Amino acid sequence: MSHLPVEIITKILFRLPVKSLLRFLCVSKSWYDLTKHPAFIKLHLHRSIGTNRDHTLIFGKTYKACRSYSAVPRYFVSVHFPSKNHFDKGLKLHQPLYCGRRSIRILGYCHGLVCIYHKTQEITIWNPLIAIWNPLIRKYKILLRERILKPSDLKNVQPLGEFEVKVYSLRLDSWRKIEDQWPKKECKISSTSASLNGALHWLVAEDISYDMHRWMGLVCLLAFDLAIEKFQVFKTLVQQKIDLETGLEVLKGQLCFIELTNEYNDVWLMKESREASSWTRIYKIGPCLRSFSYCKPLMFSENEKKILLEMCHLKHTKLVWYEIEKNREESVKIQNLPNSLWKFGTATCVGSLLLLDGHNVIDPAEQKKKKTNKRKR
Amino acid sequence: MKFCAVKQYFDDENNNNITSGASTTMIPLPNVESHPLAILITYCKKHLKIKANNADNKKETEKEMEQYEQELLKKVMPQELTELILAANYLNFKEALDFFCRAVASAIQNKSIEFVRKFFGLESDFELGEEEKLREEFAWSFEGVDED
Repeated sequence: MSHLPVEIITKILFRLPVKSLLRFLCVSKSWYDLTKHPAFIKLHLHRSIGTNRDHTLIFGKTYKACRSYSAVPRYFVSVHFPSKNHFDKGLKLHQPLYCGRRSIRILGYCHGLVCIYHKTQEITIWNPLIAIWNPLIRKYKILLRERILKPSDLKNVQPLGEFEVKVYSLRLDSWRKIEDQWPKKECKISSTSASLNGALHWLVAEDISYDMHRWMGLVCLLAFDLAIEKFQVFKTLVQQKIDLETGLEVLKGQLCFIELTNEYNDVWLMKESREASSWTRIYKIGPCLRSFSYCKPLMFSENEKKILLEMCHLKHTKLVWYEIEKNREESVKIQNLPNSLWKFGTATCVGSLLLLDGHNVIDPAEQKKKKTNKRKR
Repeated sequence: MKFCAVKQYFDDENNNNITSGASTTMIPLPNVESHPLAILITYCKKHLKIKANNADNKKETEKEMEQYEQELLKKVMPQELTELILAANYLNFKEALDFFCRAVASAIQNKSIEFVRKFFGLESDFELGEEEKLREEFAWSFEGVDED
């Protein structure tokens, strides 16, 4: 039988999900070299993004239930959904920064990678630990392990509100301080970042005041283009001061702006994130959904009539399908996903081979099982 | 244009001003066996026919092509797929090449290393211990694999 040339092997392999590709690293040296090549990893990732291949939701418990001293679990749960109407059962994934009772937060996610953060707080020292993790290939890399003195202990303190911006390069495995300045020095950031089209976005606010127990301000969109390493500020559709409880997410490949008040979540999609006039309201959830603080939209259903929401209550989070026109919610039941009596954060991943050269996430329970099996033989 | 390699031949002919009738010209295709060629010609004709029938409706074309492709795969042996891929590649027939690559990817997705090696006629060329190290590192990816 004639051997297939490498261009054709590429055309076949780039269609495979990550689990198959990792197994096929053992087929031969040429397949190993091909799969690990940065050009192939990029090609494979682009296809994953375009087809939502290996589309997976990662759930991580982020908060100890009140009065319960159960340790933060060492596992996140990953749920693969081959199509939007179907969730596979949840699989336990050992989290790379597991450390006793300290909780882990999901800071952000992009291209199949999740950024997780773990903070141990001793009396005078903050000891943040930040890592990037590819849950679908079970590899991670620690980015930051710094001891930062609390400001009150320093004699020469940098004024609060000064930011130093650094960019971490995966390829070079190093941090670099960037030239461009964070544009607004007196602003307050009102959301976590959203990554889209090679740029990071935040909602920032100026002209801030504290009115009637709420922080209010004029909200704008700040974008940082990773290719040219420049900041830019854009106006939002909302031109008056609003409650600074806002959210910025990525939905359907577009930026999604969420205005949060005590009574409702008002949600807009930005077709052209830099054009305020391109904003379209997709829904406004009112008080009928009972007391909640923030409903993070995760994805549309197949027919786009429903939205999957991560509904955050004070002490717990739940997953629902919200039917937009009928203003109805339906609880989502996923096998092996613990019940809603704890708070969790979510990340959305697609199949990606980034971090293939990272450290393995070792699950001590799996190691024990392997050793026992070896002894049995 | 399907069969771009063949088209190239016709273009070259026109450039050389050969006057013999096109319908009697013999085009040598030394790298393609007759059986895969016959399948590719049928595939091509079917594709053009479906496209013509559903001129404005791209979705309908895709749906019908998918149904035809499923039927075709039932008649083709997995071992023939590599021959078909090589033929489509030589003839520069993009749609067929994509289709057969997709079919092979589906066929091998959940299979073992041994199956894949046999399918592509490959052998392990790792140094001693290298393969075992990889198998251990990604042991979890070997779970749930189809029996050979």
